[in-house]
Amino acid sequence: MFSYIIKRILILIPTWILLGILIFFIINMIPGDPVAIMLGTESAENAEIIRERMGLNKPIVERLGIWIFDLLRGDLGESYFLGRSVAQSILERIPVTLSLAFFGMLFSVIIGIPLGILASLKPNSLRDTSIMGFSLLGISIPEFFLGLLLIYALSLGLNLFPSGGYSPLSRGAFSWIRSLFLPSLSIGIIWSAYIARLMRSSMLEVLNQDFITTARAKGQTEYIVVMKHALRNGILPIVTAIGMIFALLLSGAFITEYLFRLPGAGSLIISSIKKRDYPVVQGGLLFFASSILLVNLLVDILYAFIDPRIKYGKKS
Amino acid sequence: MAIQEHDPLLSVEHLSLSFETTESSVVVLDDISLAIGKDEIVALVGESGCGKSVTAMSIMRLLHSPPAQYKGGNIYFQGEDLLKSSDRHLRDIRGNRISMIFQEPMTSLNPVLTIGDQVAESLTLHNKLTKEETLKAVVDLLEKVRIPGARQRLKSFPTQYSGGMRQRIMIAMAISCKPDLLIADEPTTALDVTIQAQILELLKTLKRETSMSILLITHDLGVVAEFSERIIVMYAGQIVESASTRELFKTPLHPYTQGLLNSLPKLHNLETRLKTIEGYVPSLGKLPVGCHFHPRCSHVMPICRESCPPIIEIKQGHTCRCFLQSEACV
Ligand SMILES: Nc1ncnc2c1ncn2[C@@H]1O[C@H](COP(=O)(O)OP(=O)(O)OP(=O)(O)O)[C@@H](O)[C@H]1O
Ligand SMILES: [Mg+2]
Repeated sequence: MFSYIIKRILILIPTWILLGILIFFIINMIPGDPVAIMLGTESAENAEIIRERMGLNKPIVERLGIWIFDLLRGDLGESYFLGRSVAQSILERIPVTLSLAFFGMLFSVIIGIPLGILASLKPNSLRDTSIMGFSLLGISIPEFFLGLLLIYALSLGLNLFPSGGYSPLSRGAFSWIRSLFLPSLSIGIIWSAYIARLMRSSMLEVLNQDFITTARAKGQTEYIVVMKHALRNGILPIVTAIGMIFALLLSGAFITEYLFRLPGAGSLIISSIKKRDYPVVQGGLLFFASSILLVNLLVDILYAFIDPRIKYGKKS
Repeated sequence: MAIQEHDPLLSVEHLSLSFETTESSVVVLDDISLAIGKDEIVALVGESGCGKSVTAMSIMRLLHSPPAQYKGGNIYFQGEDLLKSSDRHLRDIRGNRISMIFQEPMTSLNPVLTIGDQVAESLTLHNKLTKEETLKAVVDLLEKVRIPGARQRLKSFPTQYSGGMRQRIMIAMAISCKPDLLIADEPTTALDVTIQAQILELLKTLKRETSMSILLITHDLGVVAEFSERIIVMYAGQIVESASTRELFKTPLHPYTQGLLNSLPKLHNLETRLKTIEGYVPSLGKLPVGCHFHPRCSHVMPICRESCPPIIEIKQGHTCRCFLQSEACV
């Protein structure tokens, strides 16, 4: 088990360097000139000087070398425009992104898993059909539209929550949660639709297995059959999905952040792309990719703990 | 019902059951009557798909409706009609007074729960036991089914076991509450021949130690010859013949039973080719008119194509569903 984890972490290092190289090329291939954007209509004479200061006059291979070398020292570089290091500007945004991802995930799990189970217990019943109807709606509704609906109903209508803006935890837990409630709910509803669907089909499959009949033949109550025997198996594919969704949410719920005016990592990247602030975009993408890698690693480790078939190396 | 046991443990009377969906309705059990006495081993034999498992599941009341619909008949177990019992009462009976072993040991155990957990489940469900008592009982049970190093294995998972071992664990679970009736649905079909013999031997030993009755379901007449005291032969959803093992092997009355016996290898004349029964098992949805077996029967008579023969007692304890016999009686 321990060596398995070590092995997984060691594999991360080359993957990570490869990612760095890939991201560098993608970003530098985007057409557009940060210097031109910075100077606006000013004279072109200064452009060369600035370009030199930014290191943009060097050949691309050399720039790649510098980026990777700095990366290995843990230095993501300086932003062209923000007047501070890339690491710092991303770190500032992480609490927002992380808490939004966390609460969004929480909502989607709390809504999605019970709905999926309920639907699976009586397939094709009215209950199942309505839950799947809701799920279809959730999957197909555009993120911004659902956000607007929520703002309209719960913020403008009932005035329960602010319509946007972020209040950091340091200014009190209550206003922090209040400021994150609507955007998290919006994310949560959309992903709960997906989780409910997945949970339903996973449970349907498990409930048809022989060991469920075994449990019933022991005289076990239907509740324990579902909650102990079926759920422990049915939840396994969901754990993977939850990890993936969480990683996706970490890499920025751009639209929701934008709609609710949350200063998260997603909006940082968007504005940096507009300005061709290469170091920030590169650093941000690398951060997103790393968080996906990390979450995947965590999911695999968690999986090994809850599924004995993996822990003991035999997959049947 | 002709069988005249004194107060049988289980008595199924004229049970009919169909699977119904919006599009179709298939009669799977047609007028099934059988009885199992105390301390008796009865075998239920028949080809794949004839309704053996459905019979077992309907006794356990484990079939879901929809699609399963009981169409008539009674299932008396120790005097009470299981078809009229409440869900709660049925749960008290399952795993406690009637328990079951299944055909597929590889999939019948929950892969994410420990062996100890799963064996303890029926025990704690039907008895008031402390943690220590449960632990001791589980170890005893595992030793009883000859799992070596039982105590160390409690925390292991089913994936670490072979099919034969898993079936032993299933048996340990099934006998944990000292049931009055054990239904074994093809317990050895999925296993190697040598393991098969071991499992049957184990069942026999356990049977000798307790006074449970066993309903052994199989499609292999060879298996039951030395195991069971009585044999019930099923064909396409009906019981076609039932007699003591000795009687059935000596004078099989139904042409289907005769066919089954002829297809068994015999020790004294290995040279002769094994006979098979011509034709195919009909699907239960498309049964022929008349006797279900007539398209494959070598003694077919005109009446067989018109109506289905009733099951009648030909001799004491020997029933048969065939016009050849009822004609003979008339
Ligand atoms: N849940 C179900 N829904 C619909 N039809 C079913 C269901 N379970 C069984 N059947 C049908 O009932 C018939 C009898 O099946 P059953 O499992 O009892 O056969 P069997 O005699 O046990 O065969 P085998 O030797 O292969 O186990 C089959 O035609 C099967 O297709
Ligand atoms: Mg079967």
